Amino acid sequence: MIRSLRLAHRVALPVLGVASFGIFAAAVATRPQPPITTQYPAALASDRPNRSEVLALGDTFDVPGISLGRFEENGKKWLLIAPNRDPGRPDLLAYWSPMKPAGKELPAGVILLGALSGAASVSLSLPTNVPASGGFVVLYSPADRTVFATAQLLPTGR
Amino acid sequence: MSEHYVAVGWNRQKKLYDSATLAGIALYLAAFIGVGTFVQPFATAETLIIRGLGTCALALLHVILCIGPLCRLDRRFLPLLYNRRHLGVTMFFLAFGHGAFAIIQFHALGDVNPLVSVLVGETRFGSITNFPFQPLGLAALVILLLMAATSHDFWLANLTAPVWKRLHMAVYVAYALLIGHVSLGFLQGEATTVTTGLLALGMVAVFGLHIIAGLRESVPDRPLDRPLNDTGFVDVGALAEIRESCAKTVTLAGERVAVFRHGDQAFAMSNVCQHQNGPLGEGRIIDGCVTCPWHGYQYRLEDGASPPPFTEAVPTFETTVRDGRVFVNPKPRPSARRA
Ligand code: FES
Repeated sequence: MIRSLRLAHRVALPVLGVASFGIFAAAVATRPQPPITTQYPAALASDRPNRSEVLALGDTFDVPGISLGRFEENGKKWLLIAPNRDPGRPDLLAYWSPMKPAGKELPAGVILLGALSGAASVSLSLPTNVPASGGFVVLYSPADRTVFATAQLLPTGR
Repeated sequence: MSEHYVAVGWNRQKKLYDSATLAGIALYLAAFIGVGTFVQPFATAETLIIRGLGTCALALLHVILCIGPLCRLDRRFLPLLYNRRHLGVTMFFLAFGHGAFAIIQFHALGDVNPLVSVLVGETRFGSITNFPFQPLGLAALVILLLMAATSHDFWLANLTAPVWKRLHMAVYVAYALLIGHVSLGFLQGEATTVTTGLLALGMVAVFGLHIIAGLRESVPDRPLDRPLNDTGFVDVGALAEIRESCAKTVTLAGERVAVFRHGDQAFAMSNVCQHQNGPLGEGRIIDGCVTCPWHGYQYRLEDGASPPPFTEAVPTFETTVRDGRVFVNPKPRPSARRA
């Protein structure tokens, strides 16, 4: 390399280095934390259900890493959906469905329960018009227009 | 330095170099996509390909950028430099694949031209988290395209090495743009401590190595302040301190000069190789010619001309050895360049 270029190189690199580290540091410092949705009923906000008890009910999704449980509180029925880690889809919606989805599409007659939020556990109340047991919980990605996971709601007390 | 024109002068070393590069890339992509399928079972194939190509290109860019300063700090890295341009072109194709798939995936389904969509799809310039990071990647890709397109010796010869070098120094701008692209894009979403740490480590390696090598190089760049002797020659030091068939590099008349020792004689020529401006002073005398350490261009000791049929030539300087000390005339001899 000719000397003038080498001298320019010697000035340019530290300048670009400072700029790059500045951008990197600012980006890391202001990085948003993943949003957490907690939909626990007020009564449970300070006294969350013991997850192991809830999960003992044993409903499971057909993809690994997401647990499903049910509990009752104040006469209302609740679903607890607890991913072990971020499922990697930011837009998952949970539906109750009267039948098992045949393919990627949502079956007719589904009822929207709520949204998942990253790796956070969410509690979603079951509407009163949903039977106490039976049917399916379907996790659906509207962006990909695909059913992501399905769990059968088995009769309680089995 | 090839006698007649061939697009790429393939030899065993280049083939080995390129085979190892392609094998490494294939292994990386296979591992990334294979492991990704298990670790992120919900990521689509397109997502894994976009991420695999992007991370592979970025990792390769770090390797490419570290090769230069590593060679200045330790000669054992020189074999990596030999075919660095092929690495650069390969890295461009990986980056292009990443960009093309990403544009198809995220911008091709609307009613706006996908490239326009990249540029205007996000305009929150005042926000760090929502900063339009994709145009930064696109700008870097344009620079890498320019570099890949002009990487051939055809352009080197036509643009001249200093202009070509200046153009190719834009890679540092591309690198800074890519740091912005990744920091303001990926790091704002799914990055983990490991991926953030790896990026920081890569930046420390690239900038740290360049700054260390630059500081070390600043010593021979200082103009000699030794007195001229009565004939106007500059005393550049004792002949005994130069190793046989090697050189000492000094700065005379604003440029580096390589002073070689060949037996009891000293020869001085410009330190700047005509090919890619490699440092001739770090080369050796082989078969009576100074041989560039980068790609092996040769220059005769006595007149700086490449042996026939080659036509390159570097300026040479008159030297004398008196009382064991080497004196160099800072005015170069007329060029020995042949038509
Ligand atoms: S820089 Fe390529 S041979 Fe000298």
